[in-house]
Amino acid sequence: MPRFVVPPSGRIRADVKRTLPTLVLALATPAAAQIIVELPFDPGIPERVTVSKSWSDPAPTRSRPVAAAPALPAANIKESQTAPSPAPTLLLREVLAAIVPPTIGSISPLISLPAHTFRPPPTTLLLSSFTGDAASGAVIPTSTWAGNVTQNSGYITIGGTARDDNGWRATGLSLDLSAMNFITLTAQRDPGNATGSLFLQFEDFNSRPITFSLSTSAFAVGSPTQAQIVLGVWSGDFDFTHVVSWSIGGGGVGTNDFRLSLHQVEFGASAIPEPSTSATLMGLVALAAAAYRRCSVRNPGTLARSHHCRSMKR
Amino acid sequence: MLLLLLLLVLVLTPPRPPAADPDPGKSKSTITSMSMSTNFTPIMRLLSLSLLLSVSPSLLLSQEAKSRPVGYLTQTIPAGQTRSFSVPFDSAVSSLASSVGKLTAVGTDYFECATAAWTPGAFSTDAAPYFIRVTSGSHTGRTFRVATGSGKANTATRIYVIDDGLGLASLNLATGADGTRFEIVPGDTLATFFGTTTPTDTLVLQGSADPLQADLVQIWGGAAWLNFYYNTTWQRWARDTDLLSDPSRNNFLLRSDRGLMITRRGSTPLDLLVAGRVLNTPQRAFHTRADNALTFLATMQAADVTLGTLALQSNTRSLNWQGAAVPAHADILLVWSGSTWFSFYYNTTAGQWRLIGDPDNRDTFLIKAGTPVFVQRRGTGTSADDKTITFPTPGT
Repeated sequence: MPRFVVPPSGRIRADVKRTLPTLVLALATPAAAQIIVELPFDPGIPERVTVSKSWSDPAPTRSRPVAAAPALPAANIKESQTAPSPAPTLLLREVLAAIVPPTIGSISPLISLPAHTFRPPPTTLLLSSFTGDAASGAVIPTSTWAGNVTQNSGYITIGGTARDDNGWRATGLSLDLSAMNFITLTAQRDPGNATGSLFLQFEDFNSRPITFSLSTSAFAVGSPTQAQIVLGVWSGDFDFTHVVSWSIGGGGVGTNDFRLSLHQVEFGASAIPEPSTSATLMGLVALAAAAYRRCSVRNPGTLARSHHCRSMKR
Repeated sequence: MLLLLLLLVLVLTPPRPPAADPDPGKSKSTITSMSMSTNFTPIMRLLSLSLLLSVSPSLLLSQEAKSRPVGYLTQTIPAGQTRSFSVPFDSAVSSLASSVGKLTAVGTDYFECATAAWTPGAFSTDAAPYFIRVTSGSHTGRTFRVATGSGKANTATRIYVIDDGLGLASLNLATGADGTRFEIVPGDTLATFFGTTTPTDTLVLQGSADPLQADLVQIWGGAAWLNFYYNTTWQRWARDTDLLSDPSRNNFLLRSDRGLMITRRGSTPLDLLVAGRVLNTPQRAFHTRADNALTFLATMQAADVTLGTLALQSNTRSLNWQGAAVPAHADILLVWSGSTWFSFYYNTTAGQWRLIGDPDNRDTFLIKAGTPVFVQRRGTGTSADDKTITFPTPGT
């Protein structure tokens, strides 16, 4: 098991280039239980470090649980936009706060500062992967979805006699969505769907609601499709820094059949490029690489080719 | 001078209080006074009119002696049942200073009245919310919530409002000497409307420590209901998902332009009597224009009204209300029947309102006084007109 050692006192130092990858590797290892970190506090290093870990082992002896990040529930945060995972994303500051005793002189003033002073906004925030764990939400017992939701591996299917009321929700959260600009939903339409729009309702600490929606036609029939909602400007009195609950469904009062499979809901600070855009970009990169390769051939006998490359450069 | 004094006394005579409801078991709407002058005999009314005509025109212009009809409405929620509910009246104008006036400036999130002498912060508390109703100009009948929270406290001459995304500046409200008239009206919260169990208050609904045993108040959040009940152990309003550590919901705002649902879990029917001023203008209500979004609107009708009279398909009521030959492509109006939602649409082929799945003409379908309606629009709208439903002036 990899171990990192915090010097008992004084300034912490180490080769960050060597230490951080090891730390990430260690935290990605399922069996890693005790984390003691030796890290420098070099202002030149990037503050944000992404580490993922399932904390199934007993709490480290010299730290408090790092999963208990103060403002953002770690279970709802993920790093990858393409590989959903319930594993938490942690900030380096949070790792340090978790493992370094606040009495250590050079660290404690930093840790004691307000969280927003040092927390760079996360780039994504996983709202739900519909995996069945508590953080992913649950069926609203009084909704028409009750008894009509099938839990699959990594997604749910709403069928039976489910209607277009919002039938799935999560409560007891504490989300800061101020850095988020997009909602990305992955879902598929199933045969028999008669609901025109998919609605998300969020509620802040004071129970003020706000809703977002998109057409269910954005999701293909029979295969998971990713679609995005641009958040725009948050409503005037909605406190987007303290969102405590959300629900999803057809946004109605139960008048139409709802037939969708929901895979994932995720917030993002930036838009995920369309597949066609990604392909275009990759093609351009490939073309540029090929051109570069042609121009960088150092064969003096190929005068015409070199001349051509110089012409291109001009 | 004596005559003027007499006239003033007559005009300022308070209306009669609402009479006791002789039959509380039925929903009933009564307009007790179509104007203050209904307290007068016909001779006195003529006398008043002649006196009014005899005074100088300048005096007439300077006085605002108009009064609004007042009325009351009793709505009954039978035991074990759920009813839709709204208050079709305005409260009396706030008793605080400068509650009626003219706008002298309009910002992106505020109104200004240079002649006002408002107590700073008096209108900007969560516990005692206020609304501003526009009473003149092309936007007569609109209401705006007075904003609360940090940085939104009203000043002596400025009051911050929430425009629901209409774009306050884009409304082109008149300002200055002929500025748009407004009145500031007290609003309600769960605690102020339904009460609490504090010693000086009365809870009008059934509370309980168990949300499944208490009367339920449901408020539409745009895509789902927010469920509230009075927790008798916590001595406060709460959501049905709340824990003790959650904040009190006593100050949750009840929008005067919106409806709500009440489920009576008590063993006896619940009679709710509300009184207030009947509108003498159309009710202009904001509604969400995201595709397929539902908005639960108080129609502000103090008397029963038919779908044909409501006439939401008319361009005087809404911009581009979408009728269709089939309901799948039409805007929908939903009314709670007592056990289910009736969904209506305007059939353009027949030129009449129809219940979905039913070929009959439903123009004469009666919407009871105080009954809110859901509107669901197809397609999106961005302008203020797109987002406005105009309900008819009561009694017209």
